[in-house]
Amino acid sequence: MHGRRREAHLVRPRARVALIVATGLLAVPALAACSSDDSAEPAAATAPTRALGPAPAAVPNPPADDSVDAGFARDMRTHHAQAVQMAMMVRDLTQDDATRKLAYDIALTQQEQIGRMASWLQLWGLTLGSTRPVMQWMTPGSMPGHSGHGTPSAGADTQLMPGMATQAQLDKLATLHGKDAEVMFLQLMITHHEAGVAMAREGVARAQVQQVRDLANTMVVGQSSEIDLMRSMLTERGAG
Amino acid sequence: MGQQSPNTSKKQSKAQKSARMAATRERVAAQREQERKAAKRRSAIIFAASGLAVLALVAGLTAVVMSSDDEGDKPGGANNVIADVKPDPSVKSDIVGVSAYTASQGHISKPKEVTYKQSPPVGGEHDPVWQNCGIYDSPVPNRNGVHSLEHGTVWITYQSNLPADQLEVLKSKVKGKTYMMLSPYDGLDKPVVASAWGLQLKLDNASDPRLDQFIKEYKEGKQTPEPGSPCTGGVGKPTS
Repeated sequence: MHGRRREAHLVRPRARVALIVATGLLAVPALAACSSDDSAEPAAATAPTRALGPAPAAVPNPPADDSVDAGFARDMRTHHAQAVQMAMMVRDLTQDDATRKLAYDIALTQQEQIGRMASWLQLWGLTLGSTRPVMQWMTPGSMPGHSGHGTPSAGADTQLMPGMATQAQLDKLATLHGKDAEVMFLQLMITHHEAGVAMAREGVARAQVQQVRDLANTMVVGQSSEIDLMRSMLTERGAG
Repeated sequence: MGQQSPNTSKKQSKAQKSARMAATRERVAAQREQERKAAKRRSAIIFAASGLAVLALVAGLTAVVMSSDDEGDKPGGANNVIADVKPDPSVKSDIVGVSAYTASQGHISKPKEVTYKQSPPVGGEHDPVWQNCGIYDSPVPNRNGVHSLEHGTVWITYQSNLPADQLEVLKSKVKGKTYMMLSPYDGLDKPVVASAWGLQLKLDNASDPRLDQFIKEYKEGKQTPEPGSPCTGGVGKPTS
């Protein structure tokens, strides 16, 4: 308290005001100069020739385009993206702290993994995009309710990966609030995680790259424990 | 000093009085001098501050005028922005028939409109909010669609009289995928047009194998200005 007052006396009040005003005013032309710099930038950036398509592999013996590793990375990115989407949705639909914290955890964890898997594909010299049928890298019959090679089980929405919510389900979730939204979110996410764990187990068992097997294993462990948590949360809400 | 006569004491008090008055005069003079100095300081501060204010005003006005020039008081009026998109001869796609462009990335909020010279657009200034990826049965706003291209989306558009079997082929390339968008588009000069940021491929038929190549190479491809940015949580309600 004392020191502060002494410090304040070093500059007379009126002079202090003038100083503040002058600093503020000086910032205006400085900012204007910055913004004019920005507008000049794109012209310089377009000069060199831009290469399209993936850069060459940055590691020796990278997994091939049709490998388990590449299939796992691509399909798991897609699968994760919907988990992130649903988690972000439910955070807007309820004020319940437990649900919002769980959703926060799922969204940030899976979004980080999406980025990590994109990075692998790039280092392997592969595209993130693919037109291969989903789940083609899986062993046929390894997925409960899904026969592999893109063939869905009876009644499932064609072309959707196992565990994925349909657009109609997402639309329905978007209309709910509070406990109703929490319950539907938990149900959809449990289904989503169960299929995610099955996919990840295939990655653990069959990927050639150690880092892929390691991340797949953290998915098995992490999502399994989240399934337990979500089941107990469903029970607490009388919907177990 | 013996006893003081009344006379002497009177004299003395007179001298004392004049001394006191002299001191008062000095004090007043010193005070006036101080006030004069303070006034001088004050006017110096006011002078400096107003000088700075004028400078800042001029600089600020210049910045405003310059930035409004940038956003284009171009033909079409002050509220209409023509997207800055130019052919880019330095880019060569390995897919036959792909046109390449350089495009600016500014965000334009309503009520300002953005006009695109390409149909459908391939980039340029766009709305601050992106279009959600997925399948649409009716046209989506250009300004939002362009923002999704910026995030790595491949946007497939088609003439509304496209045969049903061809439309099914297109849907199969989008459903259950991330960073893929499909919508009809009025006034296309070819039945099917695939666009990514700064890249476009016009096709006579949905089964042209170059469409798959385009998706594989450019969905979240190297041309993406903002890789990893979302294609959900924006605007628009896809049917699936």
